[in-house]
Amino acid sequence: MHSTGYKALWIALFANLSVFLTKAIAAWVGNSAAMFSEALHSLSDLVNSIFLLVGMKLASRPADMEHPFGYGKEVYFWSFIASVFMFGVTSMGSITRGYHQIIDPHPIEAVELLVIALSLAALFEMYAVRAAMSAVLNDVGVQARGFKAIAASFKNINNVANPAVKFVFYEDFAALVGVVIALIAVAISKVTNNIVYDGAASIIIGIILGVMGVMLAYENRDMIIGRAAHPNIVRRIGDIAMRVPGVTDVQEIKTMYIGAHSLLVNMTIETKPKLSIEYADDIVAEVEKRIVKRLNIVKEINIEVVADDKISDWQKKRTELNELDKH
Amino acid sequence: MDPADPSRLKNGVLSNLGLFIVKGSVALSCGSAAIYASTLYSLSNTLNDVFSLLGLKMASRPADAEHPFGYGKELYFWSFIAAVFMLGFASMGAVGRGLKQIKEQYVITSDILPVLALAIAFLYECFLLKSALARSVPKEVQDSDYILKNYIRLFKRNTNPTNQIMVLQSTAAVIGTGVSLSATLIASWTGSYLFDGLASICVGLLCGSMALILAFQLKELIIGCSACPDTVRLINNLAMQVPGVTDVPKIKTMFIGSHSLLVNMEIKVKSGLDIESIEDINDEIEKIIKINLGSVRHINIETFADDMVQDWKRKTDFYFKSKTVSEVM
Repeated sequence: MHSTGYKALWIALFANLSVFLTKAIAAWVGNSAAMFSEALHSLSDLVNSIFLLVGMKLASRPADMEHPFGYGKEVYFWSFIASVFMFGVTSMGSITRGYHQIIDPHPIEAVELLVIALSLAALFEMYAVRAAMSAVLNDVGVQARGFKAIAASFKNINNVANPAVKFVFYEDFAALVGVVIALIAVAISKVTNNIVYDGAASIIIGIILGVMGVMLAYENRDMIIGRAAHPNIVRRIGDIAMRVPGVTDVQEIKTMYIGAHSLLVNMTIETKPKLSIEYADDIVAEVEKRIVKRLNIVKEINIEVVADDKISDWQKKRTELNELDKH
Repeated sequence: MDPADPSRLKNGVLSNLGLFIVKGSVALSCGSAAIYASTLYSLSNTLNDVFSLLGLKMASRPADAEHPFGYGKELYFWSFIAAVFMLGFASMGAVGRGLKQIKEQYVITSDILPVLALAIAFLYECFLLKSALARSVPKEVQDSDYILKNYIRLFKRNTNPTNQIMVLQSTAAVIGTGVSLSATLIASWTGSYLFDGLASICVGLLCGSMALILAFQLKELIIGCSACPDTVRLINNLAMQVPGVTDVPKIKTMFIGSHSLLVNMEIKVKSGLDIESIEDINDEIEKIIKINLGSVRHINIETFADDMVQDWKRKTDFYFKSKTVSEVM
């Protein structure tokens, strides 16, 4: 990751910290459970960005003898820890707080302050959602503006290849929903003088946080286990290899993410049976050079050469990948 | 020898569940915090085995297009969740209970029955530790007379990490039960309230540090650590035995499951060979490695011609890399 990426993360960290402090003070002064849950929500976002920074820092270490494929997966590991924290501490905390507010209600105070703090947070989250939506639209390559953008990003969210983009979208959207729920709950509690709504909102926010925690854990689980590159990328790798003179077929391509920005590629190519090793060696070097040049994400590549068996595996494999892409 | 053997885990679930029930009923009957802590420990061990079983089940799914190297790391993922539970629930619970016991100055009433039950649990756990050790150290290097020697050998990082985790767990279980047994004895001897609470805190801390060690080991496996230098050297030697291979410049390995290792290697062969013979050489290397090392599941071999003239630049590049490999091996 480059310095610009770090900069964005540091900005996110300080933004989350200030939002958290604002909400925490408002929750303390106003004694509202919904506000408390919102503060916890921001706390988990804060923890998330801290762990992401730690993970990226640790992941950027160079490969060594003990870890010949590098430390790239540190990012997913720390993100996983953040999801556990999100589930265990913030979600449980806000559900418990809501439960207490319902069975043992305390009147909420300084409603004006709460409303101002929550409205500011809502504006802030809307800005974040807008950025996340444009990232989604960028990823799928759809042009849309205004309200159409909202509809378009929801329609296309399942086509997003980059899991991080998808997750940030859900996360920001959940944050916005949480703030709006808290705002409505505080208003209703004030108007009806019934504190139950405040507690109920806290429980709902807690459940949203729990669902987000599980989703984040699930997303990271796939990356930890070793997920293949998107079929599009695999297809491009194969096509690049096929275009190198001397390569008669691509028998097999196995890919696995070994970090957020690094991909391991193990492939088997076929050449003419009587070709001598000196030529094969140059072909392999050429394939490697072209793939690494076109796809920056490929960091580890190992190519095995076998004799042509007269079966066009790549044709078959390519249609399979197309099938997979459609799902 | 297989650390992730389902039958071992099923036995583990049953025996830990048994220990949990025995200790739990003793803890309820005499109100001892130390035994309560030990109960929590057995519970977390039971859950650990359950999660390992679950992970193993998930890990045994065949590789598919989305996961071409298989699902082996599922085991680490679920074990990690078990470790988090161990730290957050069992360890915190035991420490909290111990503090409460000390604050309330609660004097336990104990008679011969709970002590007897704990002593039996202790002996049983010793037996479990011994069998865990016997499973994890290969037969060839085992000195049956020197348990300690086998134990030290195990932690020289020359075995499968899953084995180390298994033995560590059994050791901590023995220590935990030992601590609560002696605390119960001392408490009934002196009639003091202090020891029971202290023992509970000790067991809680032990459980917590175990969870941290476990989490750290699992983290290494999750990130992708290589096989031990001995294994890498063995792979190197096996490849060099195959006729036609002149050099092995690079071997990269990574555990992608408790019993599957990914090996990416580069070999150099005599110049002038054609692709058909290269394929035979590669097949031979793969066969010989898989026969000797059961855990190797994925091998990819990149072949280079051993010729100094054309590939001089690449060759010098390799020279430095191979030097670092041999330094560590």
